[in-house]
Amino acid sequence: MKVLALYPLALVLALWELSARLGLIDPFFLPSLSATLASMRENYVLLASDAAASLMRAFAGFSIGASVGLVIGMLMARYRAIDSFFDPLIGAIFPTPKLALFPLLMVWLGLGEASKIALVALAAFFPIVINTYAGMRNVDKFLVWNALTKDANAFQMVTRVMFPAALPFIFTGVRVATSFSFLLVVAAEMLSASGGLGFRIIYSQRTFEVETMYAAILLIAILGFTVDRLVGLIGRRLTAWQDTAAR
Amino acid sequence: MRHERTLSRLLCAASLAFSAAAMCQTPGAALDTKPANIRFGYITGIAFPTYIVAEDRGYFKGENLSIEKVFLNGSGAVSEALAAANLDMGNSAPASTVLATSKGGRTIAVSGNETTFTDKSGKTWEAVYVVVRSGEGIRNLNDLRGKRVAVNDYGSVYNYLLRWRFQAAGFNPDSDLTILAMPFAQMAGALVQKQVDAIVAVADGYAQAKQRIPVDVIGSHTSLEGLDVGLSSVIAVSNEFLRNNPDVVVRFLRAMLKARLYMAEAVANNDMQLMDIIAKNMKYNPERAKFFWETRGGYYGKELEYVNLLDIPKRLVARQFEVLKSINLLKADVPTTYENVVDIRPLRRAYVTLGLKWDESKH
Repeated sequence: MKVLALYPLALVLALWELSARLGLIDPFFLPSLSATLASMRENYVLLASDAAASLMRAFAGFSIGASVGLVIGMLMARYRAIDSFFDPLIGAIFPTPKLALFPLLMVWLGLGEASKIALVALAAFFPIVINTYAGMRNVDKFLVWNALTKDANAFQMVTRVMFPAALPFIFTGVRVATSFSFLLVVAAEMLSASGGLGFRIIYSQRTFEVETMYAAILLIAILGFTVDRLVGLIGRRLTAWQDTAAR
Repeated sequence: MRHERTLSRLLCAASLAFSAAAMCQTPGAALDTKPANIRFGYITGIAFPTYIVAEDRGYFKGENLSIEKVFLNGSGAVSEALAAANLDMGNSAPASTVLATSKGGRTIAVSGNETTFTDKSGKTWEAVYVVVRSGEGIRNLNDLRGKRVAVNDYGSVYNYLLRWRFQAAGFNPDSDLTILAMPFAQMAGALVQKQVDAIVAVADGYAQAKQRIPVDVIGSHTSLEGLDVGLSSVIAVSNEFLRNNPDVVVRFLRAMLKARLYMAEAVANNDMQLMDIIAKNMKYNPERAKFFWETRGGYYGKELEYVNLLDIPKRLVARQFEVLKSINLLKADVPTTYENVVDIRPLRRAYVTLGLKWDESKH
């Protein structure tokens, strides 16, 4: 039944293949799904290497951004002074398109991995800090009072009451952050890289290897979908205690 | 996939045949001179002096043409837009056009644009230079092994030529060389800041790097390509536009030929007004303008020793095929026919209408 739930995806893929076979689209611009999959098979070593590079950058950037975001979010929720300091900064920088900062990052950190990982970290930071803050601030007061009556100290309060209670919010932020991480890593690789799926897309486009380009795009979609489902699964496991409305 | 490629090639051949029928009228027959607008793809940040002069001196207007310039960031993007008929004509690179056309893109080259060569006196007129920092032990292309090289675009012929040369030297261009794409304008800075070890830069970028640090030149367009004459750019056209507006294409080429005739005369007479036109359009300061003139802008008329004005020589196309097949961007069974990727008839017709002489031995 869960597999059947993917029928919209299957429909889109079927339409893609059908359009190509009926000659409705120019294969110079959009090859058929079967040609794309064939290219994926032919170039699996290359694409696997590119995928590994992209995933490494995304994971590294996400880890840094998420760690910093979690800590700052928790501190903001706990201490007013820290909240007053970071809140206007977040308000100003969050709406800024992070990709616009990439040229600056390249100047400061060079054309190598550091600038790309920094960009991803920036992108991952904001949804996590905002959601962590919101989650911590929205913890049911009853849970806090209950813990206080049991002489919980500040550390216990945060780690055993507030943080677990805030997990649903935090995981929403994590899901958004993982999507942003993928998005930004591909975009950064398109601008400046010599490997990775974003690089493969732009390189294939410029050399008219259209099947390979779409193979890379498809691979990004598959990886993104997989990671998103994985994060959702982990989130549901970690917050299994939460009452949710049944469908 | 093969079926789709065959279909594309048949469509391409059909549209070319249609164009051939359209072009079969007598070369000297009067051109349709109705006002026409051309959406023209122009690569950002690169000087195309012939186009600049044609625009500045009103040769396009004289042919009753209005040009709508569309800026794109590389020759691959121009070829793609032409194939999609989102542009009518454009500046592209020979290799990009050969690649796009050979893979079924509905675009074709109709003339050369800017030439690179070494003239009779031994002076080189190069489109690009392979520039490295002095004193780092990089004396030739083989020394680039393990290094980072900047090119302007992955679809650039210089990406392909570097890979070809590296492969010929027995190295693996994928693992032994890191090629990064960046705009020409950023290259000098990247070299100075040691973000890359070599740049394939236009004269301007070379001058900027040279002003800031000691540099050496270890290669150039012609040394990479290995021919007596090269083309840094060609004029390409969408097949659909050529089929529907053959006279407009001829008129465009007439304007470009007139510009080149003026430029050749200006160089012969040492008329600095030509340099002023280019400097004004490219916003060069006097020092950069002078350097550009000395390395690139002063060649006009001298290329006629080797090639007809705006011609695309067959040997050049053959070299593109050789390079692209060698680095596996084109399959071995792709036909390497000149006429598949170049339609030189509009240019020949432009010659006839202007009373110019075509030398087949240079073609």
